[in-house]
Amino acid sequence: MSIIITGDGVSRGVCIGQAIVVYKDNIDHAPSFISKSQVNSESKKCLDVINKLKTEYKKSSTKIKNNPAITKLMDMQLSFVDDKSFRENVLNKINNHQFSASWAISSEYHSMKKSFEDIEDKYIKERLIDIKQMIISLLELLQSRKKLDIFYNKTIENKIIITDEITPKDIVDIHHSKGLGVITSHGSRSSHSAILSKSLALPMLVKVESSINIIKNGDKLIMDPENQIIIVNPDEIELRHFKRIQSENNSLMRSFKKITNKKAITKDRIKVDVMCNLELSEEVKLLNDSSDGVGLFRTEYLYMNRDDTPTEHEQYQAYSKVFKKVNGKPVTLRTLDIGSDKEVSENMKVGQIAKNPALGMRGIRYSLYEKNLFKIQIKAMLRAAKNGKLRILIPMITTLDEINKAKDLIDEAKTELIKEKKSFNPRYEVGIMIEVPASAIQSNVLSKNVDFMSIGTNDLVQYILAIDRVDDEVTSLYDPTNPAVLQLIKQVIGTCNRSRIDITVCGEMAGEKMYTKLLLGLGLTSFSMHPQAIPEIKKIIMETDTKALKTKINTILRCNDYHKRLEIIQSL
Amino acid sequence: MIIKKLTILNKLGLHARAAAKLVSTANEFESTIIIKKDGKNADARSIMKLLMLSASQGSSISVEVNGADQSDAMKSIEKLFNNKFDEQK
Repeated sequence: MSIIITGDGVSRGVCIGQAIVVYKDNIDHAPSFISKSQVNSESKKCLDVINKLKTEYKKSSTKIKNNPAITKLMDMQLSFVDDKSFRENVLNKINNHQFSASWAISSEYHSMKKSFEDIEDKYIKERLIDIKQMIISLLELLQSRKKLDIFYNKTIENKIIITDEITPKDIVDIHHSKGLGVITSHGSRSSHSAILSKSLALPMLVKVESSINIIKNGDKLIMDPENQIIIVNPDEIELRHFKRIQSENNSLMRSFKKITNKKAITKDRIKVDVMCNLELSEEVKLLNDSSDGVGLFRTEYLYMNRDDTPTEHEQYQAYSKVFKKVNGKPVTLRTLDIGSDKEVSENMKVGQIAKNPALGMRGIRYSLYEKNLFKIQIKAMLRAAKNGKLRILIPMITTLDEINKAKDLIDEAKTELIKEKKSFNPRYEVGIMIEVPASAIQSNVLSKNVDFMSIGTNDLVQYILAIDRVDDEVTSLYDPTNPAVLQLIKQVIGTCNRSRIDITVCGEMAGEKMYTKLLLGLGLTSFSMHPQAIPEIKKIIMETDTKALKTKINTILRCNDYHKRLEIIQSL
Repeated sequence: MIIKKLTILNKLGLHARAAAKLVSTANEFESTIIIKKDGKNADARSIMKLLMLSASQGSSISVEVNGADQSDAMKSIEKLFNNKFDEQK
């Protein structure tokens, strides 16, 4: 019989396929098998790493001989590695079930973890941490590399991945490995992973709390993020129904394609720019002639999942790819901003790890601290824009002083390029992200010193409301329609329109159809969103008469009842 | 085979260090040594299995020793239990 479970839908698209359950916990490993002929070498490999770790533990135990407490601890660790039943079980999995060594070890850990969960004694229960440490060391030795690439793996091809939490890197890996969709038990719709899954058109549902308990490896699944449902082991009728929806969606997409090629002009003849957000230079493939340029290229992915920083040349190549594709349309490149949910190498962290990364060393703050990294990035941008229209976007601006310092560094970068006799485009624009409330409130002053502004609604809302959008317990309080938020957005748009500088909204709000008319009503004429959303948003823009929105917008701005406000927004 | 019922006397129960001691004692002998508690079995040579018994202070366990040196092995294990695994108090 089929079971229906629900969660928060992120990116759209019905998908039908087989489940693959991947527990994270740092010790996850997608199931992997070996052939019969590999069994002997695999079990030898496994015994080798166990012995290697034993030697390592012994070594460190003798090193610290004069500290009895630590020696005792090390001896305990030693007895864990030396554990007879652990070794027997792991070898049994390799020899008799043809598990790969790393899968044998991680799956043995998971069955031990289950037994430990039933233990009431807190002290004994905590020993699982020691065991986990040992397992991680074993897996690292086995892979002779640090990070385990669980999702960069052929076994997930054409499968729907069930896991607890997911990082942006995981999403990219799943995309590369051709996974069908993703279901997580935790997370949030506005996390960067969610944004990325949207732009890569990878169907995803988050906060499906029961998923890990209900869905088993190999279960047939239907997932429909738009309707927030997952059907586990569907029957024939359900399958037929969703297969029909799938084909209808495909033809809808084809009809959208016709719209994409038209300009977005409202009924009252206002031309609206619809640009796209990019995360990876590979995504330019998704671009077509329809968009009015790149409104936001998040460059941080060039810096992620590696131990070093990208060179000027490497960045030059990545940015050039984007400029080549857009045919002279503006390209907005945002300088490095390692947000709080992004993983970068330890080398890039400054001093102590911030207690609250959202309020810590990120964006322009980091760039003014690591001036050279910033200049390298600027040089790559200026060179890549040789024949293009470059807009440099600086994130996390709080004060005018930061703008001036950033401009000085851009000038220094130019001087260096001239000295190095590298050709570049001396014509470019400099703009700032409006995401810190201070800069939104001060937009009048700042607007006289920049060429354009871009509102990052995700962070702006987070900072205005003091809500961490990734925190499961408060994420439901995250409300972009809060009057305080809308008034501030309106103020910034008004300021920019009066100062005749470009103002774009590039946060999630810009790509969500329920906010399109609201933003138009607030005076916005430039949107930037993930490429998938463009046709739909364009369609709404073309159907809107902005003059007719005025009265309702004023009511919304004054309405302090959440449900009433939503009702009016939906009636726009 | 010798079977004996023993009581855990030390304060922390059969926790990691005590279990590690039991493992090293068991390793001194050839006999198979099984510790049973509430229907769960643990090989005395596996610290992880011993921990999973979750034997706290006052719980009673049964020890099964089988092999050539079984009586010596049982004596050593009994001594270990009665000495509260050489911990104070």
